[in-house]
Amino acid sequence: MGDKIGMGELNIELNDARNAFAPGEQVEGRIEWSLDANPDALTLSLLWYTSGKGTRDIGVLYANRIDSPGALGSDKFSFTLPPGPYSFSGKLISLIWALELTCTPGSDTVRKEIVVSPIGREILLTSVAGQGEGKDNQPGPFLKRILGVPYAGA
Amino acid sequence: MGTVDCHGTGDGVSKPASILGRLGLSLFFLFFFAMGSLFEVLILRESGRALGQRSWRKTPCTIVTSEVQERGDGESPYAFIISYRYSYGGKTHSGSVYKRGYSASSTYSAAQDLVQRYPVGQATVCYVSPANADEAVLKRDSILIGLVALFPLIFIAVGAGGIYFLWRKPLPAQARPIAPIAVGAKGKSRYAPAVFFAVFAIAGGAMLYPLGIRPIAQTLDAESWASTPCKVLRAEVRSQDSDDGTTYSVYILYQYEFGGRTYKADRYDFVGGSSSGYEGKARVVARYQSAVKPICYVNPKNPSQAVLKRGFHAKLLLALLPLPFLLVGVGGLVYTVRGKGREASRLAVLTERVPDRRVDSLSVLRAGDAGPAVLRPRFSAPGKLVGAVVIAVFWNGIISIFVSGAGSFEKIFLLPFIAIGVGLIGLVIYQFLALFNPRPALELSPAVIPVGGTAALRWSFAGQVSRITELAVTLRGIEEAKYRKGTSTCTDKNTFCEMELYRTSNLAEIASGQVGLVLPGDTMHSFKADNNKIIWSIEIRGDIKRWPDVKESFEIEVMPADGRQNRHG
Repeated sequence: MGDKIGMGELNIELNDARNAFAPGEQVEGRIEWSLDANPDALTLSLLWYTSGKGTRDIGVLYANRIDSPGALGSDKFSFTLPPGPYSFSGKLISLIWALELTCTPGSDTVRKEIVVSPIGREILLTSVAGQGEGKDNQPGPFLKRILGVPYAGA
Repeated sequence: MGTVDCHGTGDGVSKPASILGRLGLSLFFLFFFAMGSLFEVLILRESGRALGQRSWRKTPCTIVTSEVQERGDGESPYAFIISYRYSYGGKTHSGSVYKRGYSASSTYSAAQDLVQRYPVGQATVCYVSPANADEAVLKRDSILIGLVALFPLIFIAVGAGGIYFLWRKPLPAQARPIAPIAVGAKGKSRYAPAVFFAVFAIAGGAMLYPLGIRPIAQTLDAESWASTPCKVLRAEVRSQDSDDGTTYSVYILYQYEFGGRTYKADRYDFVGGSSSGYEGKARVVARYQSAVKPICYVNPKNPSQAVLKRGFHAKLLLALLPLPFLLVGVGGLVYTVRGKGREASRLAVLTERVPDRRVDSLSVLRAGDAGPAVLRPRFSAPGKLVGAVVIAVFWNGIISIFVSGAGSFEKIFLLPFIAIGVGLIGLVIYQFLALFNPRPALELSPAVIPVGGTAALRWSFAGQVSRITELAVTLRGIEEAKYRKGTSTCTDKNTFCEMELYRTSNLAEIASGQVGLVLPGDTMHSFKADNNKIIWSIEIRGDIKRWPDVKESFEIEVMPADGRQNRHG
């Protein structure tokens, strides 16, 4: 079930309460809205966005707009997922897939996060031990020899 | 804007400022808003007056007097004095205003041009105020001043927008819609750079005629002008004060006879303008002050036009100044509008109002992706050298300015900066020596590897491969996150996969070899957005004794497993 946001209620429900999908699979479900006033439109988007250290990137795959939906109603939806990008979580970046239902005008919105991955869960990217940030800036063997730093390969 | 490696929080989310900070920023934005509004009112008032003149009656008139008068040594010593007669409402009136706000010209040529445009006895038209028939002008105000009104709007928008965004109550992160941001951002990412480059192109184009085309065309034309002896009436170095300091220009007023008439002119060359450096201009002025009968060059088609210095000279190189602006502007405009190299736009395809249509947001399998491909290094050896030279010259150039102006005590504080400069020179030497290293050539088959897939990598070296004592071939996957911190753009990297594919000390195996690689099935494919990237690469490291090592990185493309299967299925 979605959350109650702003002046009304917006819901996104996925069939069989699934939240993990393989790339290329169908995402099917139902949206419901119960608002205090008649909105101009409702937009259901399938999107991914990044979270973490980098400035956010967003990709919107579909944006289905329902004009003059009335204050109360429901509708079915079905999307085919693309081959990627996969949902993943690293030390610096996470990529999150979501369905988002937005009401216009206003900023009422509800978001349902899903996982898009061939292994049924988000891909975890861990840091290589001792090979993390700034590795590229460390002196190579040549400089290490000049600077007198012991080098295993020497 | 430089890219630096630094650390901080990203996600495009900024911390809210404290109340005191917001008050301070509000004052700052209020000042912007007030100044913008003030200028807007002044410009709109002027625009209103210019627009009002459009309703003045176009009336035939006759020029009675037209001459240039000298008025002392002020900044505009040459006044265009005009009087004209016109009939309006059955009565005869006389006018003496050329244009509202005009009092005098800074050069004789400018005033002389007006005399030529309105010679005595010429029948022309003037514009008479319907409210007061005694009020008339020969030239109406330009309504283009209305365009200037757009400029203060930027200040008003920054001021008002700044105050609004400072004090508006932000929505909780979960309640903020993301998709509309993407729609707006995609528009911005496509058009904002285009607008930026368009400004460059327009500025370059606007400067090209007065600074480039006109002086060169006049210089070419003046080759046929008549050499004529002239008399110097006034010669001086004029100074102009600005925020960037004082600039100087040569000013020489001279008189000559042509076709039985006497003319005056003050054009020294066709470039004009002022620049720093007093001595050279003073020498020119002194030369003309002492010259008995200097030569000027007179346009036989229009004898009031003359110049003292003709032919090509170094100052004409200023004509090239607008070209970089124009080239950067036009090139950038073409690049951004075509969207070349914008991988992110390929990844984020917007399909608003297209219900339930499959969109392949990832790279499309190209012909040849399934076959072998020759890999290119991310940075070539000459490229690395050029980069090192540019950084070293830039850094040491700036530091040298500070060092030359610093006392011995201040130089102590500059020592760390000088040390970095010396280090950068060392880097240049290092990269120069690395130019003579053996060069690796890599071939990957298939060119694009699916997650969980296999590939064959072949390598060979050109050059003195016997210098390499040990070779290591490594597969590396990194996360790369770019974010803003203050005015800098920072990039953080994290290696999430490092797999040594091959290591050998055998000379024959170093010279050429082959290795198979298997990508894990639970890893991430290549991903490139504007700010966040997953990059896969093959790294070649060859140790050379007493010499910079061979270090090359070759980016490879890893694609989603499903994408490949779907396409083949």
